[in-house]
Amino acid sequence: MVHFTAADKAAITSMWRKVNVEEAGGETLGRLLVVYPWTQRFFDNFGNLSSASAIMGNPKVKAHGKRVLTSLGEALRNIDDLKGAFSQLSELHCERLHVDPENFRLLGNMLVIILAKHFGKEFTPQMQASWQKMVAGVASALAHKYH
Amino acid sequence: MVLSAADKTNVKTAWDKIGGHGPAFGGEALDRMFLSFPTTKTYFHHFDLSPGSGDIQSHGKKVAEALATAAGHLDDLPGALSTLSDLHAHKLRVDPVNFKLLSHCLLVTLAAHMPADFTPAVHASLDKFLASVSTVLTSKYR
Repeated sequence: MVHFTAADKAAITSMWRKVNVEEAGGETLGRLLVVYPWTQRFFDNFGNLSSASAIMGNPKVKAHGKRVLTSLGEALRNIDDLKGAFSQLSELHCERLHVDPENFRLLGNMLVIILAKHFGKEFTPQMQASWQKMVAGVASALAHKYH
Repeated sequence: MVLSAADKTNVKTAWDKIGGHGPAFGGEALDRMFLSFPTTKTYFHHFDLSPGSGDIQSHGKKVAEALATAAGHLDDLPGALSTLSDLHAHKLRVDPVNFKLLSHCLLVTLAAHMPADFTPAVHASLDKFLASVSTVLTSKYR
């Protein structure tokens, strides 16, 4: 299980306050679909995903990206019990959505890259380390109910 | 996985823009990797692993130079990286999972320092490039 120090929690929550969830969500999910095109398999009904610009500008991608990051933001309030916080979403992703948990790790790393791009030098190695714990914890929590 | 003509252009352009910052970026990627993924330190127990140490800086320079060589020989990565491939297979034997970790930290470093150039398409090309390099470096493992 991931263990967050007080320093991790402080770093994560202070940076999250400065994130535009709508923009970052669209950017994160969009880049996932561009860089790892096989992840498009879950989004057949999203319309035009035929090019990088089509994907990044796609309104359904942006909306879904926002939804995903909003959910992540809510989980930050339960950072010490991510498995509890994501229990129902885990069941959903297994039983209804049939998403391989590897995709949660890919998305998590994509979020880390977006944060680096947005915050530049402020996204120090120390900050990255806290966020890597965060995304690993979320990915693990989302996979926890799989059977 | 094949690098398209567009990928190759993106990689060469990116490497030109990195210019003399290669060694610094290499060192920073290693710092990031050791902090975020502590298991990677097991291969460097003989190093001073304090952030920005001389050991890390000189190793970062080696990594950057190898990647610059690769970027200049995109049509023959196995040939250009043959010696390094032998080294990793027979002497270093770094578990293949670790190449993804360093590649990720290299991308994070580039995103942090060159945000305007790090477009989705360039990001995708660089990810493919680093994956191709990783494949070549582990190709002689067995």
